[in-house]
Amino acid sequence: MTVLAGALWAGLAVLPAVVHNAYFLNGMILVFIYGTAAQAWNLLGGYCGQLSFGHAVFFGVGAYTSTLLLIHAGVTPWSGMWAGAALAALLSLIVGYPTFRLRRHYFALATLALAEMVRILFLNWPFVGAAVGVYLPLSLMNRPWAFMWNTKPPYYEAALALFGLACALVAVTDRTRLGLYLRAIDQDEDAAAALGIPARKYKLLAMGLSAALTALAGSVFAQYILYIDPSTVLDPSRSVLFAVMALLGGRGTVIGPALGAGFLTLLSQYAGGTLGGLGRGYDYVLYGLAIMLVAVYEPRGLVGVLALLGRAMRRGPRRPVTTAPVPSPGAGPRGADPRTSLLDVEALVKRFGGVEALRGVTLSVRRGEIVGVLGPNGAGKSTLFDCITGFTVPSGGTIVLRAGGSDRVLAGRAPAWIAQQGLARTFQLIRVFPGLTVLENMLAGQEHRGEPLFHVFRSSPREVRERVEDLLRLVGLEGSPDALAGELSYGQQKLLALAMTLVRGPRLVLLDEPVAGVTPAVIERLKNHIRAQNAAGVTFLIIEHNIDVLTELADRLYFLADGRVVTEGPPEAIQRSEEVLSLYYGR
Amino acid sequence: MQRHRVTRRGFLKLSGVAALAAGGWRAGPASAQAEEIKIGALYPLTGSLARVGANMKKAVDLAVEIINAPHPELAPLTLAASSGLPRLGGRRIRLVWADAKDPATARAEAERLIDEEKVVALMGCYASAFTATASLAAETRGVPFVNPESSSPTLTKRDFKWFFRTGPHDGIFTAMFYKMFADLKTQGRRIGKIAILSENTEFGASATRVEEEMGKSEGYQLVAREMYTSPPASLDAELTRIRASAPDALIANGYLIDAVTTIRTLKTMGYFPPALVAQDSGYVLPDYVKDTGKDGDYIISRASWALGLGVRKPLVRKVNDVYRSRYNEDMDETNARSFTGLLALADAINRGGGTGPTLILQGLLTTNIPGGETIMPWQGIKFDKDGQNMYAIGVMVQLLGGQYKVVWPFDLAETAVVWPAPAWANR
Amino acid sequence: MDLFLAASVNGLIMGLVYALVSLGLGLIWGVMDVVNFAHAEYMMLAMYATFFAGGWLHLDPFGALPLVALLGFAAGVGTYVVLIRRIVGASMVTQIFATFGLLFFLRYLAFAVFGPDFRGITWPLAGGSIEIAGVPVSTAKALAASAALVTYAGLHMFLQYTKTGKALQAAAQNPVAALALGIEVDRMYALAWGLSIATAAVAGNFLLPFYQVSPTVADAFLLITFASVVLGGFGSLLGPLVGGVAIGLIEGIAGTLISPTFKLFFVFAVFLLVLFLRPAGLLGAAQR
Repeated sequence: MTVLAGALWAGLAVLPAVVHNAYFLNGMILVFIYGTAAQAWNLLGGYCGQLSFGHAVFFGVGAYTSTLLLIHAGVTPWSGMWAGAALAALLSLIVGYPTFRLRRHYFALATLALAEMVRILFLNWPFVGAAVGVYLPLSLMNRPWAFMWNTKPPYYEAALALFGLACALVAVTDRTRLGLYLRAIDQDEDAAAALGIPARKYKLLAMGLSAALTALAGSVFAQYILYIDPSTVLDPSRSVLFAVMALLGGRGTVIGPALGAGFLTLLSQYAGGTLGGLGRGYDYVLYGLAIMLVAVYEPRGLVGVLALLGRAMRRGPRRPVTTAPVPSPGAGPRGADPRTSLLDVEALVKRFGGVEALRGVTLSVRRGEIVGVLGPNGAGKSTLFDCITGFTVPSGGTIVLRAGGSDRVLAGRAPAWIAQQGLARTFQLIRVFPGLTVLENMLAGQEHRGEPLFHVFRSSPREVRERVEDLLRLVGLEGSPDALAGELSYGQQKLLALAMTLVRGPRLVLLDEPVAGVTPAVIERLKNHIRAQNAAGVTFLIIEHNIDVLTELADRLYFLADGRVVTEGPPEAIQRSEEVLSLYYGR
Repeated sequence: MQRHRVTRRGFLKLSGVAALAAGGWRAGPASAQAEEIKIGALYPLTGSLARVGANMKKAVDLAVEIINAPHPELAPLTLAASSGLPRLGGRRIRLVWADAKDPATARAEAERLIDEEKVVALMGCYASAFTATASLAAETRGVPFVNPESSSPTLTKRDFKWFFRTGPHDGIFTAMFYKMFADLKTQGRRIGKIAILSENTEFGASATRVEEEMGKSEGYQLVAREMYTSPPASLDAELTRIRASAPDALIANGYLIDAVTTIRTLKTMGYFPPALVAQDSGYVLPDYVKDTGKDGDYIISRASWALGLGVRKPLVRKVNDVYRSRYNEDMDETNARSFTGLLALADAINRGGGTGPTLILQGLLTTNIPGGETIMPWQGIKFDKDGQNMYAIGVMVQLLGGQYKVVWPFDLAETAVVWPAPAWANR
Repeated sequence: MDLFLAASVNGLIMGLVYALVSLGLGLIWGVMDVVNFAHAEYMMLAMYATFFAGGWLHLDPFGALPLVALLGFAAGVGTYVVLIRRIVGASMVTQIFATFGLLFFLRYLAFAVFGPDFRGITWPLAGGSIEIAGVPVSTAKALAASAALVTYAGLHMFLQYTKTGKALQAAAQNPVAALALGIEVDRMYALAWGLSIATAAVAGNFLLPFYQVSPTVADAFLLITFASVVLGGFGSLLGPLVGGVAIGLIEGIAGTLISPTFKLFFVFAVFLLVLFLRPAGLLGAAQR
């Protein structure tokens, strides 16, 4: 793949020596410039799922920064473009910090509005030429330091180099942990946080890189067109163009945006002559149609279409995923240590508006225990988990994790931070990352604590890979590491979800209804896994409706009803309690 | 280089690719008639300016037809009487159209027209921002570029060698405003406070800049300057402020929808400034008259051209009759400029005596067309050292009863200017 | 002070016009959690429909209203059946992408069919002006503002007091439960789209007398309608109404008293502020 890319690259680089047609070279230069911006958009919108309709701002910041530095300070654009990139990255972080709190459509809308505000500012700012725009000084023509030529090949090579940089950055992202984390965040940000992935940090990283790359493209564009004004470089249609190129080509892939940029730019240049030349804009009607078709039938874009064609030609149906049988570990020695508690919850209160979901729950989990939480629907079990794991901010009470000699107050902290303290959880409704492979799901669960930022540009370490292999073998999924998690059976997804929590060797695992909805065979396997892990030192807190399973597994049970702990004790005692029976079975 | 290219084309021709444009490399009158002179026409044919682009295309197409076929009835119009270009053995002109819909495309299309279509000269592109980048391509390739319509003064301040503008720019137009104001003041009208209402793209912003500077240096007080993004959802806020500033004249730079919205809002407010003076654009299009009806009356606009010029200059009427018989509408002040720009370019090619770039350049530099041979209110066409037509000027027209009447300069006026405009109640 | 009054009245009227354009957008957003980027394009098409109803059938906007609204309803249902139904459960990216493609498609289809010209009508009935609190307001705009109120009231009553309306709300709140109750969610969605686009059509119908139509006319309204819905908050029809009026007032007052050039800047600044501080919108937070 790398060899192929290198060959393609070399071929493109020598192209101007063979093809002298300036119109064609112009098309290619624009493909590279727009392609760079589309790749940049792809980092954020493709991998991370944050749709930006405001990338024209970064493009414009790049274009204006290098141009104004050249005109007013005589700074060579070769340096000016990096200044523009830095400025754009800084701007993106300032904008991104509050904006990344927004989910779904809101992020896209916020970027639209921000871009419009920046455009209005530039339109009325005399220093940047306001609406009249800025002409680059033609007196500097053909001086390489001024990044200005009256021929195409120098621009071609410069734009190609930049495009290469963009593609390389995306390729690196795609293959390393960064891409994995970004895609996990895209698919399910909460589940990613529960695994300890610091979503906002990685989103900001993606946005900063994306903004910087876009700004570089903007600088080269300004040097190439030699005239910039807000309606050229800051127009919303520019933002839309980058997004559509990446989306149509195939977001979240390395070649998609490149394909999209090439396809749309060259189509517009050549078909625009025939279709657009009629003065009716039929080409845009076709774009619109293509965009809708891709959205409905092949969300992976052109890349998806090509892949489908390739698959149709090559092979038959996929083979189903099978699970290998697992040897039962047997009931080993339990590691419960009655003396030291690991988690202490005291007088926990949670109100939703006027409703009190938790009314002063006190509960403790000791090192090495398996503790069960039992209770009718609406007792507040899941709210309790959400409070402990940071998905809900408690209204009152304390939650303390006593880990390694130092106590950590959990209440009110972010889920990813809590997860990094050694807590792991599953969700009542399974939340694996359906679009990632089994292996990728497992790798997303690796340790994030104390990880230097630049490490995300590396692949997962060998010891993590080995541990993942062990765990996959343990849950019997070692035969299908490349299957998409979304294509697994329900039981297999439950097994995977459990395995994912174990990758980073957590101190405490919270399981929310681990055996609900699975076959008796899978229940047995799950029970064995939990026992085995407990024997290896992992503490469990389990919500479960299945009282028999809890009785078998747990050292102690808490019975919750109506937001309070009704009773607490060994399973046998709880099962006999009149109060529990009446509340639970209505007897 | 030029010769080499042409020879290669000739070779292609021999293999039967194209028949019509044959034999550029062969000399002699026998083939001269057959080979057409290709001129690239760059105009916005799609996008928001497509409507204006279509109008300009009509006029330029007509100009080419008048040149190519004998039209003795249109004498003394430049090149009308003869067939084709007489000094080039009657060779005809053929236009190669390209869509200049944004600055980047304008430049790329200009390059394509030069490199692939082998046009000998370019004209266009209406919007100043598009002209700016397209002319850059011509400049770096050494191909003449004639611009008839763009009004940004910057364009002829770039020290370009190959760029020529036949029409007036904002500086010339705006100077006209203030000359007219001065003339009116000598007649006893009180004009001291000026307000500006402008859309905020290259066109409006650069016009505003000139209006403001010139107004200040002429001693006028600028009481309001309101910029908006076109198309505006409403102009209530802008016009409320302008009304509160009570100007003696409101200068408006806006596109069609802006102009119509302005008039409707003014009517709703029951307010009309003593004079609304417009930098043409939206205020001088046929659709403006159609959509505002009689409410649109009394606006004053600069114009490079007006049908009313025909009163003193019969040629204007004659050409417009041909245009009208063809398209069933009158020429407008924008496409009259395009029309004249093409004639000036063709004249330069004719006098230059060939299609080589330096010959055409020589032709342009020595251009001296008397005003009587044009349909414009100009003393003629002659380029200064910047490539600007030094005789380009316009007239001021006022819309009265749905007709644009020339009201200034007074010696060309069809009728007296109505200033102040009557209040809505008295119309 | 006089300036302030004029700005407020003009802002209120324009705000109601924005609300009229935003109502349908908010409806779909609330019911299906789908943002229809092409919403204002349907308004554009309705403006053409009104224009041609005048030219061919000699109907004034009042006369054309039932026809245009009906066409809008049909277009909404058609859009749902052909496009939206296929992306109901899809990812947000897919949904945005699909309606974005729809925007492109409709806009340039209009461009191909109608050309780039601006077209307007003169409607003698709405040509004059009326006074509100001493501030003259164009009759055409006042009519559009009234249409906003009437449309809102009509939709509100439909949703609150008819069986179908209640079923629609149920489908919006919990599609799975609604399905279990025997409500045909699919048909309810189709109905919501029909209603949504019908209101866009009503907006276009009343916009034409004071605003010319061209294929790109939606640009002036696109962001403002999003802002209206977000500002007001989801879950009730009152959201877009309040949001639209708020935006009209901000634009009118800040535009008139501070700077018209930056009037949209102020609007978007407030929009972002609300988005960051109160993502549920002005009303959304109040209702909790």
